[in-house]
Amino acid sequence: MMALFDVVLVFTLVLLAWRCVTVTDVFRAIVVFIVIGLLLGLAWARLEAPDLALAETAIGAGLLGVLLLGTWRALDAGERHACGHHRAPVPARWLAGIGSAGFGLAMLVALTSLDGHPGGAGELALNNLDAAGTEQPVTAVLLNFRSYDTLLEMGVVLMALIGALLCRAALTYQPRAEDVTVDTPLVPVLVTAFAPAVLLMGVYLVWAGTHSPGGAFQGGATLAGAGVLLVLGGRLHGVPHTALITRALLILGTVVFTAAGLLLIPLEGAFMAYPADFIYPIMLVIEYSLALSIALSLLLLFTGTHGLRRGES
Amino acid sequence: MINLLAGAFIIAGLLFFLAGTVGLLRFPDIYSRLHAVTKADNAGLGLLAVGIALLADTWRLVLLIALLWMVAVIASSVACHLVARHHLREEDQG
Repeated sequence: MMALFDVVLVFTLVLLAWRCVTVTDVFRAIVVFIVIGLLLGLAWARLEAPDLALAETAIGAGLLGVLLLGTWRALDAGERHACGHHRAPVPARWLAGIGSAGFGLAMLVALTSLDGHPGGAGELALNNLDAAGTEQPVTAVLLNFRSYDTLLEMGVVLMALIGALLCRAALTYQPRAEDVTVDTPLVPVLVTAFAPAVLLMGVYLVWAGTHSPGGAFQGGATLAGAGVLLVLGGRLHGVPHTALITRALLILGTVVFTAAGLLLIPLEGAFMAYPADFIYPIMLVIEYSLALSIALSLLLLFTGTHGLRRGES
Repeated sequence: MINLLAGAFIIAGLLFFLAGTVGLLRFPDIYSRLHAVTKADNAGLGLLAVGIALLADTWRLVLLIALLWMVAVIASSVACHLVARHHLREEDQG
């Protein structure tokens, strides 16, 4: 029964992916892309990888979808038409097709030859969970065993935001009055009812990362989702200048993560080694700082502005 | 007995989803499509939730399913309202 479900899921994914790249209407392509994200989340859940399922749904389908829709709204009618009807030259299309097929085949070979051999990194990590201060293998790998990677990822998120804001300044798009004004009583009620619940869920997901699926990235994306809800409901507005507190929150994750690694060198003798007795609170502080920075970065990517202020309504 | 009852609820729910999807694909204009997809899917989701809740082991799970159903119903109603209103305005403008 579940095999049938999996087969249907895989075929739907392939079909949607094909639709996503062949459809000429940009808006449809975006909607299909969001649906692919949701189904990919389902696929990860079926593969018993709830962390990836959460990340895919929150970031891949949710926030990326919102960013794409925001970009679509910034295009004028001519640009929207041009996006869908621009065709790459035939050699380029063949090259892209053959390249994708080759990459897919290489992935197939690489993944089928993985047999999780004993003594590999996965087993080593699972055997050392006690030392990581968290019962959750994924969080242990992200924040402890491979913390360099996570630290660099935070740098990437920050750089992406700076780059996006620099490009965005060149765009002429200004939010139109009717995009921002909310003249239906339902939207404020929806925001009032849902925003606290989504915020709570984000905070919970970050905390849950220490013992069950969740963590800074999934929680941060959910917090950013609550922010998007507040922006769309007119409770938060983008402003063109950055307040000090905004800058502080943006770099908080990177700074706390680096500081925790550096300050403990005299005690532990190595960068990013944590004392065994205090590892749980240290992990929690790092997780929450990372999540706050991720959430604010993603939210500013959505508003495309340098800062935020509270709305009147 | 409970399994049969739950099965009946789930199948009824799926039929509503099927009807909603057919309506979405076949109805002529956006308002009747919205009507089909939100009304039928909300009813379908409710029946599905009741069916699954009957099979749930703990009261916690039942409450979570009820919460999920409520969130989905509120979100879809507001989304339907917004889509319809947007379309109405575009029609007014020409």
